[in-house]
Order: sequence, then structure tokens, then C-alpha cells
Amino acid sequence: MSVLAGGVAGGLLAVTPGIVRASDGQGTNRTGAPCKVAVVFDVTGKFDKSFAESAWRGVRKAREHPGLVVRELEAENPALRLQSVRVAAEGADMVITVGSEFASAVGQVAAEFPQVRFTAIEAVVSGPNVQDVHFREQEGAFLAGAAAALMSRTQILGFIGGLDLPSIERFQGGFRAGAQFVNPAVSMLTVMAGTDTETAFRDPYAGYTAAQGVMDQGADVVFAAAGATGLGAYQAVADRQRYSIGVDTDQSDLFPGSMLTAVVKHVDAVVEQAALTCNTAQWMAGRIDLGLSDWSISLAAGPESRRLLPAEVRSRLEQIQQEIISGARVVPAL
Amino acid sequence: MRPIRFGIRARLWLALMTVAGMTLVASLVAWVTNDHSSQITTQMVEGEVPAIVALSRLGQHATQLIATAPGVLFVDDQADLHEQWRRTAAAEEAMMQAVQEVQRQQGATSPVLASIERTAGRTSVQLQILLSAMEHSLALRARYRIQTEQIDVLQQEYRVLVGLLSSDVANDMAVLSDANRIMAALAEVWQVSTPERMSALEERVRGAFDRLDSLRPALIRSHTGAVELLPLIDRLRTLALADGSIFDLKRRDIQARQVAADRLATIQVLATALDRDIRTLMSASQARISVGHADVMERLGQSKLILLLSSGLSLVAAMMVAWRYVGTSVVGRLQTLADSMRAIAAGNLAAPIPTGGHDEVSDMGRALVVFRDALAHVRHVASHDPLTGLANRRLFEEKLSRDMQRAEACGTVIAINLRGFRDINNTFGHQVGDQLLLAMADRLRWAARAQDLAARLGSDDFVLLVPGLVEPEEISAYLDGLHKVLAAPVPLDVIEMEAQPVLGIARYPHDGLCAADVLHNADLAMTSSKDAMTPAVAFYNSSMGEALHRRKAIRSDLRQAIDDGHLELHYQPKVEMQTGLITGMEALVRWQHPKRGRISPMEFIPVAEQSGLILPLGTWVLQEGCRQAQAWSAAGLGDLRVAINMSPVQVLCQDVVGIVAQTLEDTGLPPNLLEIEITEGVLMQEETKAMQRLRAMRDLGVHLAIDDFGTGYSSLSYLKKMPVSCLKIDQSFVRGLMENEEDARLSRVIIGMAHDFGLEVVAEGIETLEHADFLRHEGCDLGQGYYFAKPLEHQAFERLLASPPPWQHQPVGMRSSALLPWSQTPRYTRMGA
Repeated sequence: MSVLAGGVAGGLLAVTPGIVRASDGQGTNRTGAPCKVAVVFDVTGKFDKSFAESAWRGVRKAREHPGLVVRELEAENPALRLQSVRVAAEGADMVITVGSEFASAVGQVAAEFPQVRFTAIEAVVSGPNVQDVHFREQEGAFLAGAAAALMSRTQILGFIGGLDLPSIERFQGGFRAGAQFVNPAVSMLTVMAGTDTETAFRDPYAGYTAAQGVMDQGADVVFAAAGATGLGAYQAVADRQRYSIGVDTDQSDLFPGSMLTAVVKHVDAVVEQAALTCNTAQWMAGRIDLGLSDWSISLAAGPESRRLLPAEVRSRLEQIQQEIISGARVVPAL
Repeated sequence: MRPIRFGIRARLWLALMTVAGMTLVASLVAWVTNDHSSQITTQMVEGEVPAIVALSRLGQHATQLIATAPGVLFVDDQADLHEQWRRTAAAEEAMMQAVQEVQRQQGATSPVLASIERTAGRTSVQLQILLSAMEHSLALRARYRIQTEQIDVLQQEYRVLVGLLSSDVANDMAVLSDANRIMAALAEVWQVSTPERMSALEERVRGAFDRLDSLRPALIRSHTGAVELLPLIDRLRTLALADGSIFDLKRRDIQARQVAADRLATIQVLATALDRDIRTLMSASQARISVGHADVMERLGQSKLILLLSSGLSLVAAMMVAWRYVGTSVVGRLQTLADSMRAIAAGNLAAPIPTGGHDEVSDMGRALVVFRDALAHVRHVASHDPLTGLANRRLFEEKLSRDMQRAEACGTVIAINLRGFRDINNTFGHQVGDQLLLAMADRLRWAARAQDLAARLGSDDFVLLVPGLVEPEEISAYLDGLHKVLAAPVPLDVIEMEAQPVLGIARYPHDGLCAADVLHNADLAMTSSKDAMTPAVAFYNSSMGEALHRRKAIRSDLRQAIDDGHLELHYQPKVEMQTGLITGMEALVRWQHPKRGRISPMEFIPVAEQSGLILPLGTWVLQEGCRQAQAWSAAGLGDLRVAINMSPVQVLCQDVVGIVAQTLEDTGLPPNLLEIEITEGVLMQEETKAMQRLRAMRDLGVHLAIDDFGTGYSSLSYLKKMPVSCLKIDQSFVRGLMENEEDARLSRVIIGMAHDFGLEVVAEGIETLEHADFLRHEGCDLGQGYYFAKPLEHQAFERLLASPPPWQHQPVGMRSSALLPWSQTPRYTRMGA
């Protein structure tokens, strides 16, 4: 009887790994142990309601996968970025960094840990074991600009940026292009709310005053691409009952009646996917650009958006989106 | 192979198994329902408790998240603010995780949970803006302090320069007052809290500066001391009104604080909503718990019900099985059987016995039937006559007793005897006799009504009980009819028999107070009728009873009489006929009852013989007689031979030879002085034994005489068999000698025959001289009778011996000289002399 049970158990054990390996090939390293992923956040923390929080949601989803062990780290100030990445790399199979400021740190540490895979989100860095993921924000921002121009009565739009980073410039450029595509008479007021990387995306009050500033000058639709700083801008816009457009996540829940839509950057999906390729053949070093067509960027279309955007606006936006996806319209990164 | 039987054991097992099975069933049901209930309970607990824990944690974190907010307004340190920022982030993360946990517990996102998430998000936004606003405020305040320090420095300079002004220059005074106004206003800036006041103050200051500006050309022309102040005032103006001035800073600080306050207000609203939502979740959870609880209770109730029902049913089923298979089937029947047994043991053989079924109980029942039948048979046998089937004595007496005990009971008992039965039996054999008895029994059965009873008491003794028959006429008629029936000839095989019934009648309560008496009296009546030959029917009368009673009394007293010495012997002399001499005596027993007086031997000797008392009586007579004879011999009164009567009972029923020998030895009487008188009847029964004993006595030397010769069934062959030496002529012959030729002839013959045999002859009952003379003439040897003497007491006999006997004084047959062969000389001689 016990022999039989032993035989059955042995047989099951022999077969199981094969089954797991065969199913999706995800999650386990060659020896069958779970894959270790370390995710490093920047000084803005995880609850900026936009970029970092989206990454955090991706981490949560990744944790649900049985073959993964996910660790979180946070660089509390700029000086600690390098150290954080290094600590993350130790004992991990993959390191995911969230934020463009990790570029130099990743570049350094990746060389130190050639066995570890590095996925840097929005950081411009390269290496044999480095994969950097960038987004074509301009495509989403184009749609946002079109929406803003369609909804604006004063024909004056406001753009609040966090800092002069490439991604923010892409947001800005796309926004202007989209707005002027719809209505060439529209004008855009731009404000960069922050001055240094440490506080630029973590200064809601600055966003608040910046939004107040552009609204004083007549803007009635404000697009903020400034992380947590944008929260203050949206609040200022909501306080004056004007319209705003969110960024990175659908924040219309937070500012009901005020936020028309948002340019959603599906960082969560990217993080999750990256974690799942912890040690599979699907992971490849090199630069990856994601945009509207692969649904990494999208314009939020939740219940609030549907409520605030009239049907003709929405259909127009759909149309434009289709054009971009099909490649009929190319939005330059300028 | 034994057929498989559903017996007691099987039934008990069935009942047991049923009970066990039902118990098992009930236990199983209990187990299952218990299991089910505990499952539900576990589910509930495991489902809801973590949810409750998650919810409470959510509430906790929500509180934490919000609790930080108010304190932020009072933070005045950047480091503290950073700390708050960090704490807020941590609280938000914890809250998010708590929400996720609750979601996981609930299994899905509910609108409330989504609302909580949203509210938490909004709260986080507000908090971040609040913190940021405070951060800006603190930064502004820091810059403000710097500005204020610079203004303080300028104020110092101003005070120095003011001394240079002369008080009587009008322009100087104007400058002074405005400057003072500015100074004062700048000092107030910090206190200002509203933008309106701030504007008013700024206006005032700006106005002052403008005035000073307007005074400037005049001051330069006049070359007063106030000119020195002008650079200072310019510098002041820069500090006060330019960008980054205290007004600006203060204004911006107020704005920031306002924003912060607004955010706090919003947070409080959000906190209320959050609280409400969490409460909703809590109450939803509670509601679920209540529902779950209610569900559990209901199920428990249901399971209780099921359990109760199943237990009840099990119990009922078990009880029914037990009742059916053990209770009624076994115990009930056992009880019935026990009752039957008890009834039968108590005597009621008609009690019903349960024999139905195929088990041990029915076996026992059938065995009981066998026993009962045997008992009934015994009873029957005990109360009925085996041959005829009629009731026996016991049953008859019982019935008669019962009948007599009833109030007003009366009736007739008829005792029936068959007169010729013994002869029929002897002549034709027992089979014929039995057939006759059977025929009689049948006839009696036929004659008996339902309430009558016919019984057979003995060999040919029957009795019939006829209750209710009391009137003499009725009885007579009945008896006639009965006698006719019974007397009719009985056809047996080839011959016809006549039973010759004799009836004896006794009535009750007339003729007896108890059954035994009545029966006995009927028997007496029958006996008397039988004895008297005719008629065939006799009624009991009291004299029968009296005679029986008397005989009983005699029997009972006789024993006592022997012991107490109420008996005495009287002696009747035997006289030698030729000589007139007394040669011996016959000893006759006399009984003087103290109460009844003299009781004649005719009465008590038969009683003694029937009761066996004749043995001690006879022994006593023998001993007394021998003693007396020896006494008289020793006293010199002569060698007299004493004659003792012996009944056949004495000869046959005891060691008579031994007793005689012993008596002779004890008394010392010579054997030849003892004569035993016996009747011929002694040989009629056991001839051999009698002969042997008689011979033995003769061998002792004792004389034997045949008494009452000529009466009864005399057989002359006995004469030659019996070792006797003497013959006694019965007095019936002697008494009628003179009157009856036959008596005289017979006497003569007897005497001659006896002499031929060489026997002595004694004549009894000589009453007259004539008798004596005749007998003497015929050669009779000895004589005995009233002529000579009646039986005398021993003293009288002694006197008789002493004096010459009176008969010797009489002339002895003078009338017929042919009869006088002897001399008349009165003398007496001793025998043997």
C-alpha cells in the first residue's frame, strides 16, 4: 500500500515540473525555483496617482503570479538611487526601475551584475542585459489635445509639465499638435511647475499655483503631465470648475465633474509583463517603444469621460485614434 | 437438518438488532447533521472572520491616513513635514493593501469598496496637496524671516538717520511721518491674515512711498537732513514692494495656508464618506453574518427536527419491532403460558394453553398440554373406577359433601350390592364377573340424571347419589324402577346372569350430617338388607347406626379393658358324667364395663375378632386361665384341666404355639391340664398352616377339642385330620334332646362316632336332669351346663370345689335304674390320683 502511494507520488513529482514548464514557460528558473524580481521606485514614492502608482499596480498584479517573488525598493532621495539599484540587483533575477532618473544607476549596476536582467522604464540606458522601455506619449497627448481643443470655449489651453524631460516634451508636443489639428486657432499656455528632479514631480502646490496662473490667463482646459505635481493642478482646475485632463492613470475618479479624460500610460501592464519574463526567452535587451497601437498608451474612456465628453467629441477622437493606430497619421515626437 | 425456526432467540436478536440499528441510524443522522452544521459554522467563521479582520484593518488604516491631516497644519519644520509625507505614503499603501484584502475576502469588488478606494485616492490627493501647500508655506515663511531681518537692519539705520532730521523743517516732518507710517505698516504685515487687509496695508505703504517720491524733488532742493534717508527709503521700497517682498511672501503664505485649510476641510468631508462607507461594509458584513447565523440556526433547527424525527421514528420502529416480535410474540405468550401453568397448577385444568406458533414458547405450550393431560388423567384415575369408569369413593364423597353443604340441600344415597356376585366370580371366573359389573355400571349410568352421580365403591359395591329426592313416595317409586332395571338379567355371551341387587337407602340431611356418615348409613342399610336375605331394599334406621356405634365403642374400650383389668374369667365346671366329679373347667371371659355394665361376649368377641384385639384378649385369657388352674392345683384343690377357647384368628395370625409354650412355662401348668377348644372353621382357610400349628400344640402335650361340633360346615374328614382328643357337642343339640328325635339321634351318633375315633365327648348346655341322664346313658364322657353350674367367678368356683357339688345330692336317675351304673357315695377325687 505504501509502496503504491510512494510510486504514485514519485510519478506525480516527475511529471509536475514538466507540466509547469510546458504550460507557459513563465515564472520558474532553470532549477525550478521561483524567479526573483526587484522593483525600484523613485523619490516620488508609489502613490502619485499617476506614473509610479501605475507601476505599483503592476507590481501587485505580478505578485499574484505563483512563480514570482517580487520585492519593492524606493530611493528616498536622488543620492540613494545608485545604491537602491545595486541593493535590488543583489539576489534578484530581474530588476525593474521606474523612472527616467535611474538611467545612470542602471547603466552602472547592470555592468556589475551581468547575470541579472534590467528593465528600465523610461530611463535611457543600454547594455547587454538592459532593456529600456519608452512610450510614445505624443500619440496619447495628441488625442488629449484634440479633446481639449474640442471642449475649450476660450480656445486657450493650459499645459503644466513637471520638468523638461523628453517624455514631458513628448506630452507637450503631442498635446499642442492634437489641439491645433482640431482647431488651428487654439493657443496653449505652458508652465513647467518644477525646477529639479527631486521635487518636480512631487510638488502638488506648485501645480496648484501653476494651474491658477494659466487659468488667470484664460485657459479653461488644463493638461498636466507632472506626476504628483499635477494633482495640485487638477485640484485648482476643479476648484474653479474648469476642465482638466489627467495623465498616466485614469484619474477622473479623483476629480469628478472636472477631469474630462486622461492619457493613460499602461505602466502596470508593462511592469507585469516584464516581471513575467523574469527568466524566459521572451525578454530581450534593447530599447522598446510602446504606443497607442499596442495599447500601452490610451485615452481614458471611463464613465466620467463618457459623461463629460459629448458623443460627437468621442466619435471624433475614436476616428483620430484609428488613424494613428493604422499609421495613417503619425504623431512626431517633437 | 433442523428446519430454521424463528424462535425466541432469533426474535430477541431481531429486536436487539433493530434497536441497535435504529440507534445507529439516529446516531448517523445526528452525525451528519452535526457535521453539516459544523461545516456551515466553519464556513461562516472562516469566511467572515478574515473579512471582518480585513475590514477592521481597513478602518484602522483609513483612520490613520486621515489622522495625520490636522496635525500637519501645525508642523513648522521641514523635516517633520517630510516625516508626515512618508507616513502618509505608508498609510496609503497600507490602506490600499487592506482594500485589496477585503476585496479578496469578499471575492469581488462591491460598489462600496470601489467607493472606498476612490475616497481613499481622493484623500491621498488632498493630503498630498495639503502637505505640499504646507511645504510651500514653510519655505515662504523661511524667506519671509530673512526679509524681516533685512528690514530690521534698515530700521536700525533709519533710527540713526532720524536724528539728523530737524523738527522744524516741514518737509522733514512729512518725510518722517511717512517713513514712520511705512515702518509701522511693515511691522504689521506678519499679523495680517486676510488678502483684503493685506491689500489695504499694501495700499497704505504704497501711498506712503508715493508721497515720499513726490517729496523727493523738494527734499533734494532744500538740502535738508531728510535727503540722507532717501537711499534707505529706496532700499525699503525694494524690500517691501518688489517681487519676493514681504507682502508678496505673506500673500502667498496666506494663499498656501488657505489652500491647506481647504484641503483639510475636503479631507474631513472625505473622512466622513469613508467612515460611512466602511460602516456600510461593516454592517453588510454583519448582515451577512446575521444571515449566515440565521441560516445556521435554521439549519441547526432543521437538523434538530430531523434528528428528533429520526430518533422518534427510530424509537417507534424499534419499539414496534420489540413489541411485535418480543413483547406480544414472546413475552405476551410467555405470560399467557405462565398464567395457564398457574391455573393448571392451581387445579383448573380447563385453562386455555397457547400452542400457536413455531418456537420455544409453543413447544412449552405443547409440553404443558401433555402435562395437563397427564394431570387430568391422574385426576380421572384418582376419582374414577378403572374398570367401569364410574366415579370412585373419593369423588363420590366429595360430591356428596359439596351437595350437602349447599343450603337446603337434601337427597338420597342408595348403596347397591350384588348378592350373588362372589359365587358368580368363583363359579364363572373373573372375566364374567367383570362383564357383570360393567353391565351394572352401564345401567347405573343410564339411571343417573345429570345432577346424580353413580359410583363404584368396591368389588360389587355401588352407590348412587340422587339429590333432591326426599319424598317417601317418590323414593319408593324411584327405587322400584331402579331395582327393576338392575335386577333384570344380564346377557353375557351364552348365559344370562342375574345380579340380585340389594339396595340400602339413606337420606340426607335426615340420616347424617356429613357425607361419610350418610354413605356409611346407606351401607349399613344395605348390609342389613343383605344379611336379612329379604327384602332387597332396606331403609336405614338408627338402630343400624347404633349397633355400629356400639361396636365401635366396644372396640375402643376393649383395649383399655384388657389393660385395666376389667376383664375377668369365669369358670364353668366340666363334670365327669359317670362320677359327677369336676374334672376341669371352661374359662369364659366376662367384661364388666364401668359405664355400660356387663357386655356380653356375643358382642365383643366378634368385634375383637374383626379388630384383631382377639389376639391380646386371647393371650390374656390363656395366661389367666393357666395361672388360675395352676394356682388351684398348687392350693390342693385338684388337678383340674382348664379349657380355653381359641378363635381361628388366634391360631392363624400369631405364633400361637410359642405363646402357649411360653404361657405353660410361665405359669408352670403341666401341659396336659390345658385344653384348647377350637371350631372346625379353623381349617377352612389356610388348612396347612392350621394343621401344622395344631399338631405342634398337641406335641406340646396340650389337649385339643373341637367346639360346637355339628354346626357349620362340618367335614367329617376334619375329624381324622385334626389332632384332637375331644369333641364338644353343641348345646343346640343338647337343648332339644327331650323334644326332638333328631337332636337325640344326632347326639347319640356324635357320641358313638367320637368314641370310634377314640375321642372324648363333652356335651354343652346341659340344663336338666333329663339331659344329664340321657347323655350319661349314651356314654357321654363329660358334661357342661347350667344344670351343673353357670360360669362362676373364681371365688365361687373355689367354694364349689370345696364343698360337695349340689348335683351329687340329687338322686341320680333313680327313676331309671338302668341308668345308675355308679355308686352314690359322695366323694370326689383328684384327677390323676
